Amino acid sequence: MRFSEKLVCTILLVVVTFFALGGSALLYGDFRDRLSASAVQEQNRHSMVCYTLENEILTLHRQGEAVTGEVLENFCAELLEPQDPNSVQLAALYHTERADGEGAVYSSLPAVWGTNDLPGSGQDVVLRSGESLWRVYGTDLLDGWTLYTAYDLSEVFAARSRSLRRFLLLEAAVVIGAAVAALLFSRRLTRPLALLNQASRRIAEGDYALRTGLRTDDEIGQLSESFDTMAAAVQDKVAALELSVQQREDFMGAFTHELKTPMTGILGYADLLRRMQPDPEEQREAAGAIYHEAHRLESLSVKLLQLLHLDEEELALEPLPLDKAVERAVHAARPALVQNGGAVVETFPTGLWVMGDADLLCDLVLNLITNAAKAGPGGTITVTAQQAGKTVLLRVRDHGCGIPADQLARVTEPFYMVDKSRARKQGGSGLGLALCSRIAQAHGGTLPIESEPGKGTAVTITLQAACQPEEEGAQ
Amino acid sequence: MKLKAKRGLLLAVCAAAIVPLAAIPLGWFALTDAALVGQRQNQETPYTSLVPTGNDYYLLRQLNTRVKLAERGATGPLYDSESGMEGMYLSGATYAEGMIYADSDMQAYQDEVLKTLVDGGVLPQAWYDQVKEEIDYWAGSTYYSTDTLGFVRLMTFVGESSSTCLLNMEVDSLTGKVVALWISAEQGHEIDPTAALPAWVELNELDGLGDWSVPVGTDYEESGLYSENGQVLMTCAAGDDNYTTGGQRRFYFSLMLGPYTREVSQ
Repeated sequence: MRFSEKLVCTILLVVVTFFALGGSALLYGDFRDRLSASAVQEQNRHSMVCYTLENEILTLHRQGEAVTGEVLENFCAELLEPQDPNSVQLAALYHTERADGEGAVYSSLPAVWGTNDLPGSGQDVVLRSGESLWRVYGTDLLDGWTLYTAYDLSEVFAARSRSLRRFLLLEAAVVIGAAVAALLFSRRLTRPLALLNQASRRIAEGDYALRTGLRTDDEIGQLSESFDTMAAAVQDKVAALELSVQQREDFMGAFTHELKTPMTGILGYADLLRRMQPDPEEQREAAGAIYHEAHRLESLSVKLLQLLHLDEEELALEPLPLDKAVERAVHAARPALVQNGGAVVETFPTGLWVMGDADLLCDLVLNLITNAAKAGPGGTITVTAQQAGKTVLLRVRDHGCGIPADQLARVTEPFYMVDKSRARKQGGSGLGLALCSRIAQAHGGTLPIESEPGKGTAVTITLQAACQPEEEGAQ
Repeated sequence: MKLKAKRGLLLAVCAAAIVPLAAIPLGWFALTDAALVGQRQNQETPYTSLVPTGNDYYLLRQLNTRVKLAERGATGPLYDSESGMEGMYLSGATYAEGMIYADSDMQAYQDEVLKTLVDGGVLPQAWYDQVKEEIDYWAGSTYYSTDTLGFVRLMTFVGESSSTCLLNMEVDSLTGKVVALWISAEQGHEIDPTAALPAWVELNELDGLGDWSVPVGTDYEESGLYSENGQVLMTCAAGDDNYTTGGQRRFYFSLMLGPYTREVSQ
């Protein structure tokens, strides 16, 4: 059963219940009012008959005549005998001593009403005779006489029946109207839900860019907005996953290529040494090539291990002096500086302390200095640091060849090299900046790169500033 | 298919629920009608019965008039009173010499009235038998007189020279109701005023006054019934007859009906 149908059924049941109950109360109240109004008239007529009869009894007494049943019967016959068979008034006159014995002195009441059914003095009772209902009044008169008059209530009940018929017709119209209105209303109400349902199905089928676009100021509008937000998040996540897969595939391809290239050289030189008897100079050259390529492989594996460790482990950062880390890195970079035309590193001690891992921070600066040396052989590399609030900005700047702007975003990808032939020639593996980026991330920082081809590159590392420990300060 | 069937079933259930709910008024009225029929309830403005007075009863009105006329002592043809000219009143004789000798019809009438009292439970049978016995024994003679209001007095005398009044009865000639009865007999009998008086009220059709009660705290506490509405007292008594002369001990039986104001009496 559809939600809209459930809604229609519920609305109809509620409407019918309350309408029927309200209508019943209303009709009943109206009926009671009519019954009461009729009772007032009936009691007046009953009292009039009582008065007339008592007056007659007293008249007989005043005249000294006997008040006999026969006299009163004749009087009642003249006074109360219904002229019309459809009369709305019936009556009976009993005497106290004769009520249970010889019956009424006069009676036009239906025979089905026994004396036990009749009301006491000052009371009334509704009795049924055939299809009609009568209200009977009883009153004790002078000299032990008891008068009963009965009044037909058919008109009151007929009026009620007419009202009831009208109400039932109205009720039917209301039910039909309510059904149509509820159907339209519920369809309008549930249309956004149907759209949401349809959208969710299409998104499930892969249409991640689909949005409902429903904007209303109610809960359904909020739901649609949340749904669209969720769809956007799913789309982003899927895109991220796809990017991740793509990067992984690229990584695997590059990794395979980076493995294959030195291995090809090693295999070629090894085969040369195995098949031929080269002269010592050629042997030395072959051995050197094999060593060089093997060294590249070793360097590659070390950096890969570092990358893996960085992904797996969370770093325990500690305060450390930045100058010392830079000094260690510059010292470690000397062979690379020498190898790249004797590049010079300028450092400016700052006395700043940062939160970090000493070895990784040293590796980070080393990689950046090495990259800078490779970018501008024989040039000057400037390493500066400055504090900005709670962060410390460490910058390594060179004046080398620079990086084209369209490749800046990719230089931190593993195995990505701007100039592959130059990089391989210089022993690069394409993992240096990727490693730097991960180390920076592991320190809670970033690695923005600014570069201009032909003018140089500046790489900035954002680190958390730390306070100098007291014992260190004392030393 | 299964879902379709379930949906159809639910729609059918909904429709089936709507019909009885829509018919609530019918059930409501069926229940209220059933509760209405046969249910006795007090009338909102019940009829208040007329409260009759002594003047509403012919007999009492006649008695009142007689007392009133007797009090003024008017026996002339016309009397100029504060309320204008009033008719004269001539009382009937209360002694044999002033009365008319009753023939057999009158005697039969007297006997019939006595029997009516006996049948109505007012006069004990023993007293009636006593009266009959003394009349038969003494061959009592009966006289009557009337007044201008229509009261008939019947008196029967017994004894030697008819010197003893055996029975003195006053009857309203129009209605035949007894307003006074005096019996003086050689032998007394038990009476029961508590039964005789209500019976006499009914016989005189005065029960419509509706407030007959024992006049507690008066001399008539044991022998009378009083109606406040009618301002009338009726008594029934028996005992030693200290009024009839003749030297012989006699017993009396008395019935009296007359205007009476309790407050005045007390």
